[in-house]
Amino acid sequence: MAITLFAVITINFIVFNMMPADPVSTILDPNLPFEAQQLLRKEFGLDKPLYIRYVLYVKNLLSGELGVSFWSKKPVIDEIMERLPNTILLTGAAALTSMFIGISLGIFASSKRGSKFDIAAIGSGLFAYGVPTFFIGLLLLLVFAYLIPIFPTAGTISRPPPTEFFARILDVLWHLTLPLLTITIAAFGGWALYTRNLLLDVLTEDYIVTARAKGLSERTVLFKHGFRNILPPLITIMALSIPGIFTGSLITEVIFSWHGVGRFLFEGVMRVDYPVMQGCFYIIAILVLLSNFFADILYSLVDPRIRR
Amino acid sequence: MNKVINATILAILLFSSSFLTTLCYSYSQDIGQWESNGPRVDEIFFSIILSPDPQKIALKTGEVQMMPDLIRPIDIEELAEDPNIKLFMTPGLHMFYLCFNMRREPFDDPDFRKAVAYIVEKEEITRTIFRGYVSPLDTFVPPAQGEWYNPDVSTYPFDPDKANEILDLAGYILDPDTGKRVDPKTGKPLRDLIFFTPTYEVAPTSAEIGRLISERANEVGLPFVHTPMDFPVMIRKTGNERDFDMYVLAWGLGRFPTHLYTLFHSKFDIPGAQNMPGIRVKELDTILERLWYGIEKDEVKEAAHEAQEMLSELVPYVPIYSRFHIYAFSTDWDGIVNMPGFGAGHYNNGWTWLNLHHKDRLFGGTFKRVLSEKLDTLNPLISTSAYEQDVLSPIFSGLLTVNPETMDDMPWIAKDWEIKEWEYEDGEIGSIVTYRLLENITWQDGKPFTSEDIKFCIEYIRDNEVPLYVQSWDNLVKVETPDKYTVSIYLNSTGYWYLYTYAGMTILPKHIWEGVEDYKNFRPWEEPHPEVEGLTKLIGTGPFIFKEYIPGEYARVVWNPLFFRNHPDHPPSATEVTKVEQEPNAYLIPIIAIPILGIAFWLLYKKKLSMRK
Amino acid sequence: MTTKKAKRRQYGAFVRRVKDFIAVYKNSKLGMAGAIMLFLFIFFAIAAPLLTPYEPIKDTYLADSVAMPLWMIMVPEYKNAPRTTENKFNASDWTIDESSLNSNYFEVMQKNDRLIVQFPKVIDVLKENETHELMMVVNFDYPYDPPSTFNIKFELKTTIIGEADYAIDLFLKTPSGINYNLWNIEGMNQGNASIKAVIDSRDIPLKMRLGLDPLSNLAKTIFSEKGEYELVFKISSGQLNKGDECRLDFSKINLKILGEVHGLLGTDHVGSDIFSQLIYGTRISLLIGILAALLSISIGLLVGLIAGYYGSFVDETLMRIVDILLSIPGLALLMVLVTFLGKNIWNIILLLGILGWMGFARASRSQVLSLKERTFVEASRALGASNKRIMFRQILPNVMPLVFATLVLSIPGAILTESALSFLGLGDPRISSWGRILYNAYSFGGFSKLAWWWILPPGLAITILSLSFVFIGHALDEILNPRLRKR
Repeated sequence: MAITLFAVITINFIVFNMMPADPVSTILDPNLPFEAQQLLRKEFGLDKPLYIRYVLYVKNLLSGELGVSFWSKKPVIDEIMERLPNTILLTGAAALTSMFIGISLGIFASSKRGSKFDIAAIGSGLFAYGVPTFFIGLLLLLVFAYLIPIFPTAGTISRPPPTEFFARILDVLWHLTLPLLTITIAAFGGWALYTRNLLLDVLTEDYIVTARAKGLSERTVLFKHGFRNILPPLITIMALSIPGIFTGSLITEVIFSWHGVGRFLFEGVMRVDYPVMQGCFYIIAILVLLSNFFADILYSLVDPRIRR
Repeated sequence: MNKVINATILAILLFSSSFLTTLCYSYSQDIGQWESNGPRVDEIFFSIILSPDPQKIALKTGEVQMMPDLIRPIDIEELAEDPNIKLFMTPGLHMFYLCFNMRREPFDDPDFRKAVAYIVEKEEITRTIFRGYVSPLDTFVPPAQGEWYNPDVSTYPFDPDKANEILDLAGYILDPDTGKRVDPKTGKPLRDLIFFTPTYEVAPTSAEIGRLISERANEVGLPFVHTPMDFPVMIRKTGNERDFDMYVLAWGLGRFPTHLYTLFHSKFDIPGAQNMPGIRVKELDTILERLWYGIEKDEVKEAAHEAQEMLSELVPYVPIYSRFHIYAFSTDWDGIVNMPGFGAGHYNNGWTWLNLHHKDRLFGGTFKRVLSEKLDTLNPLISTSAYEQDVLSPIFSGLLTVNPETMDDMPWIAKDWEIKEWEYEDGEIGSIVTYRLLENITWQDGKPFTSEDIKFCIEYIRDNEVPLYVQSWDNLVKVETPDKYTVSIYLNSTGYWYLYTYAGMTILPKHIWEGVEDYKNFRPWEEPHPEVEGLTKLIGTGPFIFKEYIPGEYARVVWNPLFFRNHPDHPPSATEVTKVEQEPNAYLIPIIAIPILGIAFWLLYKKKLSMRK
Repeated sequence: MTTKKAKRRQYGAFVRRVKDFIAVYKNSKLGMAGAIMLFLFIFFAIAAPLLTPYEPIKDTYLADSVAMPLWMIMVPEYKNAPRTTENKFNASDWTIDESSLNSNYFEVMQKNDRLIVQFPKVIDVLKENETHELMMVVNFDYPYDPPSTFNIKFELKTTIIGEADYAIDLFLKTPSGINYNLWNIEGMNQGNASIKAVIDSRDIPLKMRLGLDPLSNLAKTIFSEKGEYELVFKISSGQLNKGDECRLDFSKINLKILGEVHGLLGTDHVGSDIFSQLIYGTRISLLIGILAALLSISIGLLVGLIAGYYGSFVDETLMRIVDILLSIPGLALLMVLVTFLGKNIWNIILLLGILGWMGFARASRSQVLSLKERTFVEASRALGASNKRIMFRQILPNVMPLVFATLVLSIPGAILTESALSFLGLGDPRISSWGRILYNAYSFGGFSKLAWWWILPPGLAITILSLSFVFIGHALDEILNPRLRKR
């Protein structure tokens, strides 16, 4: 795993420096004199040769020093921490709800294969999956924040926020509703379809027929036998989506002005803010590796046929 | 005969363009009544909403009362028709242009450049892409700069026939087989001429303009290839590597035509500096030096006018359009001052924030406005974003200000000022800028404001070599304070503009900043004031006090009771700060709905399972 | 048996198999539905130029910005919605107003559709403050609701010998008699000039000249009534001397009023036909979707098979590579790759394929891992089958259901990713993909204008196309996967 991490860090560095852009050049101002630009470059440490920057880069990352953003001069780790709770709240909750709804739908659809319920489930799932996230977000915003104004238009809190503790929590939940709905609607379809297809395959196995013949309830058949057997690939995908929770959803964050990590990342790339990119991508790399590892362990626990 | 034709067309155009100028200018004179005493509102919220659709919705539902910088024609038209919203429009200090790389062929040929100028359809671009809501620009200085603008220059209205004529005469014959014109030097068809624009996703209008121009160019046999490109990449290729043929971009300009120097003087034809076209004309350089270093206003004005004339013949850029500033306000609020060049809600227009008040009320109240981007920093020495300026500007006062009707300089913190020459070494002439200050000004924490603060500020910036303010210290020799209310700044260079370099500077309080060693990492808005409760270290002498910034959510400022121009009738302890009525019931809906739905779902689930046997 | 005969027999068997397959396939309702829908899309893609006369991107301002579909006029509220009308007034359309002074002074001629006014015909002495005037009038009918945009275009060639002293005004007169002076010009010194006049209701200088608010809508103000309108050219001339001559040569006068209804699906922000964009977009979506999905699935399948089957070192290495690639956020990689490779459709397909295979590699690998331990595989190995044979003949068919499931989701997935890529600036603006239509709607305010004809069709198109693949996949699944047959 360490080798992987190292390889990832190095590739990231190469990618950043292959990007034919430069943080200073993104500040566009006819009155910013040339001398000022040179001074800024020196400040950012961009005047040092490439290999020195690489060594510094690796050293910093491995010691956990994620650097200071070029733009805000604030430590990257602080910037991320500022936004992380918002992102985890939104995408974490959305992941849970969409997985729950999606997988449940998938299970039921597979057990009633070919029925109206099945087609309705696939149809709605696909429809929601096919429509881009911003579409759903903007539509919800228009309908529930404008036409029927019961939800707020932006932010995680009201401006100004209520002072009482309990009221603050409600305030955040109130603001969370629309973006949460957006992501859930957009994502549940994928889970439903995937689960359904996996189950359909499993439900034709011999042991299922045996179980039914034994007179076990449909519920037991579905869950104890069917569902259990699709857990391996399902868990793989679930684990792989963990880093996605961290990266957030850029478009939803923009539409709802949700102060999250997704947009932060995007801006970092757009502005070629090296410390931000380096810090974030490093964390993502670690998360991916961890989640894969985690998935592998769970997988072997769940599928007894794998001899480890 | 040719001359006569030109004269005729020129006359017609002069007529219409000067007509246009006066129209534009006179329109923006919808200043209304304004006072220089204020503020009248108690509190301003800057609500961060990132994209235009939610901004519009927030404005229409009354969640905010002002939306800045309307650009999309759909938004402009929709809000113009809304009876609860009024729009304020003024020509802006802005220039969108096409830039040639004059270091390469065929762009080193002035005839070629002029021909290209003739195929840029400015009016059509205005109509089809902006539905009329920008101003076609023919000159290197936008009309909004008032007296600095020279209308008597050569212009190039859309005329493909004329372009064909010029190209034919200059030897770029049309090759019938390829449909492309031939390079007179090589005899072969012109190579593909790459035209950079930002991408559709980042700047859709700019990209569309690029496509339009390329199409027209192709129609006259010029092989333009429209190439949308990532913004940072484009900036590097044009700004640093000078590896480009043509591109389009925009400059946000100031009140004065100093950009002519920084953009077109040959000494800035180095990587990183802003002479992108690579224009090196000695005569022009001389004129621009007079513009930059001249001390008398008449002198620099004449130089500005001459420079514009010359540039209109050299055509290093083809100016295309200039934006309008359009702000949307709720009709419930009055006191909005529509200042020329900047607009009703711009941070350089302090008058609106001084005069703003609810229509039913003389003083007090809370005003909420949209802020389109989150803030990275509120440290004036490192802030580069216009949105940060929106919040910083009301907190500080400048030495001078601008009269919104006449656009003349007006005393503010400084009651008068002068600039004169000085011999600082044998035979070398520099200048001295002197300001005399008002005597009743205090900082927001009550400490008196004196010339010591200005001296400290300038020296601090110099000692720390703050890049963003390099013009303030680059030529500095010394700062003297003959008394508590006079400051003289000694420079080893001349220039009428130095008056404004310091006039617009954000003056920092000595008693707060003198201990700060690392200005870059200093976050004054997050540290509490050492003595006064309720204040942070981010204090100024301006009409509003900074209260808080919740990252990504909002910033808040409140009126400064110690402001030196407070309205005489403003109740000293007006605490009628109306909080926005929360709709408590509204957010109970989801709280109640979610558990109910959850229970229902669970019940259904159980039923389903039990039903299938 | 000769090879030829054997081959013919094989061919015959193959054809029979296909025929059988089609027969069975026809039984599946969903499969047929899916197939029909897909064929429809393919038909649209191929027959695009026949289905619509407009170019999806090039033809702009067919009607006004964000115009509704034409069939909306069936709704009573929009019965009289403005249609795009274009009037071209030739020389012969103009009538000279006889009441204008001194009709002896002006000579009006027609030459090839062009209207020529020459003066002075007769030199006479004018009283003080008197001018010679000529008025030319043309009427037209406007029966619709007020439009939002109109323009008038014409060309005027002037030839002047000696001194000129004249003025031309263009008026637009409404049915109720309001006169708007839209354009004027004054004669200058001698010479030739060619003036291209464009009068557009969007021009702010024009609005201000007429004394209107720059933010108001000029077209709505002027064309506020239904009825007969008049365009009037007024040519006035002062005292000219012997030897002076003026010749005014007018081209066709083109008056275009942009409609607010158009076509099957209305127009976008620059007045391009949305139906055309949708139809032509089918090509792009099908192409990108199918190719990119096939590419990523193929790579993923191969990697997964090899990794899962061979296990140990091979597995470790391959999965390590997958991990590394998964850990690099696509954004930065994308920007770099695209800058180097350039932005065109083949690069997008390549990129989508390259970025998408990792997920499936893992999933298929885990599938293979569990299949590997099955009894039939052990049996095959005991029988001495080669690894390759086991992989492709035994395991692969059992992975196919997963492949279909993923493929069916991948195609719309690829189409959606293409839309998302467009959003980040990697799309080709000259191509009208469904993603592009949606993002135009988003960027240019189509959503807040509730322009459902702009925002719904692309989304629905993606959905229906995806559904068709799902149905087909479903049917294929049933037929090809022996274990799924109903027991």
